[in-house]
Amino acid sequence: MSAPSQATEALPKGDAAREREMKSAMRLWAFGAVFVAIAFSALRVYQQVFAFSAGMDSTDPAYKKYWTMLLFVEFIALAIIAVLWYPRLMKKPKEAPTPQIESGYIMKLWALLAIFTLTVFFQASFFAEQDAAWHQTVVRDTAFTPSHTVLFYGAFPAAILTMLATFLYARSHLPHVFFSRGFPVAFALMIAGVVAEMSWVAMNEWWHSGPYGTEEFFSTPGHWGFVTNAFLYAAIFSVWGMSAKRLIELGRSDKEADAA
Amino acid sequence: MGMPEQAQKSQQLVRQRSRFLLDRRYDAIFVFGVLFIVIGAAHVVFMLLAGDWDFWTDWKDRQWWPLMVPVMGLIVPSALQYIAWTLLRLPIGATLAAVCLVIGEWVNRFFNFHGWTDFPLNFVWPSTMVPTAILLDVILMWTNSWLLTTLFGASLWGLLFGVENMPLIAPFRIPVEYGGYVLSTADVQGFQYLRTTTPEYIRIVEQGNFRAFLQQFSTVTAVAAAVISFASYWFGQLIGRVLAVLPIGKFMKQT
Repeated sequence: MSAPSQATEALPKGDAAREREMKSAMRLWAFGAVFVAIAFSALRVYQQVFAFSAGMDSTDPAYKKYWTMLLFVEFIALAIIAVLWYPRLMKKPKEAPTPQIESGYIMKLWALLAIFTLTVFFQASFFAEQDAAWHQTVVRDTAFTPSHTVLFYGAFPAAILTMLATFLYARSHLPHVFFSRGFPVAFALMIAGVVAEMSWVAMNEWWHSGPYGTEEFFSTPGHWGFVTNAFLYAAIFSVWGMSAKRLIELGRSDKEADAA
Repeated sequence: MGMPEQAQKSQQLVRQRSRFLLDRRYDAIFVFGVLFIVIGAAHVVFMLLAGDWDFWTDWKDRQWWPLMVPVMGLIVPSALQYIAWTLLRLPIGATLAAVCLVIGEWVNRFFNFHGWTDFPLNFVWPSTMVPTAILLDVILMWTNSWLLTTLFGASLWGLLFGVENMPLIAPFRIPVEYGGYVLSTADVQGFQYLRTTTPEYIRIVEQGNFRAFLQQFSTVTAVAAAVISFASYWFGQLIGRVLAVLPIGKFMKQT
């Protein structure tokens, strides 16, 4: 563990502990956001280089080399991240947190939510509409096209991974806020949203293989399932709302602040 | 004149007890999260319900574009307006959603439609709903009434869509002679920049007897959009209420 800075040492004991948690949360946010941005930017550059040169014909050996391989690389990378990150994230604190430390936990929860929202940007905005650009231009002969390989099998699972990270952190560090009276509806809706988005990929591919074939009309009923599931993301405001309410309660119960 | 001592003490106590929430780092992280979740949600909902009429200039016709785009584009601004007004008393929800939507669209059109599949930006520019979103928020702020905002705000949202986008679309409505036919410049763009899997027969523009209305068709579409926008506005309110505000403090009981 790193030694506390001089500025932190000058603070009262409770505030110093809080400051450490807050800084840890800020680091998580910065590192997570930069990591997600770099990872998806790299995938976009990969598309630019190999989509037209090796992504037009799925029977071409080059297609398997550059695109089928990328599919497996994405799955393996996401699995490794989950295996390494989740246990570290869920590591429970030894003692019951003070109000100051708990406010830092809430900051970390918000940092995880912020990373999740960035993956939603890539999932629901950037790579989703990019899929229209590709499929309205190029004839598809496989479900695993260059745009789908990044959107459905990279960005969609990344949203599930970051959503589950948020949930597991709330479950391990803030159970009295979110799980004392049962399973929170807000988290149920958000988890349902990301999982249902991924599940709808199967319906989407079935739709494209049948009623609409390889032609691309984007506002088609086959895509409306993605819309319904995206509505569930609105529940993120409930998670923010519940934790903001808890921050107010913590301020009221903070005896150190009252004494000051 | 200074504040009375009692008021000062009371304000100090409130500040002291809310000191966790008043930390600006929460604001920074919250704003970051809101921006990206709204860009994502507003964009995916819009693109999959009305996106085709917004991707290309040759789909921006007088029948479906001024109807589908404002009606479907109102759902998320309405939901966010409800959330922002109910939870934070901020009359900025619709404007924020409209701005986020247009940011998401421009990023995409530039990096993907233009940067990847090589279409010129003047063929793939997005329409805007920001002016009517400001109007919607201002009407809510003035009236503090969902009903009046529906009657005036939602109707103006649909009614004025064509007007707010007229400076953008006007150059693409200029008639030109092409192969012996009179077409618009947007039609010519569509024929010049081929989209292999979007053949002409699935382009949904100016269908049926629409042109029998002669010079009234833009008005007819605008009024229809205004009326349907009521339903769209309330659908957005429902989403904001049921999925974002009501779940606060709601739990599924464990058996």
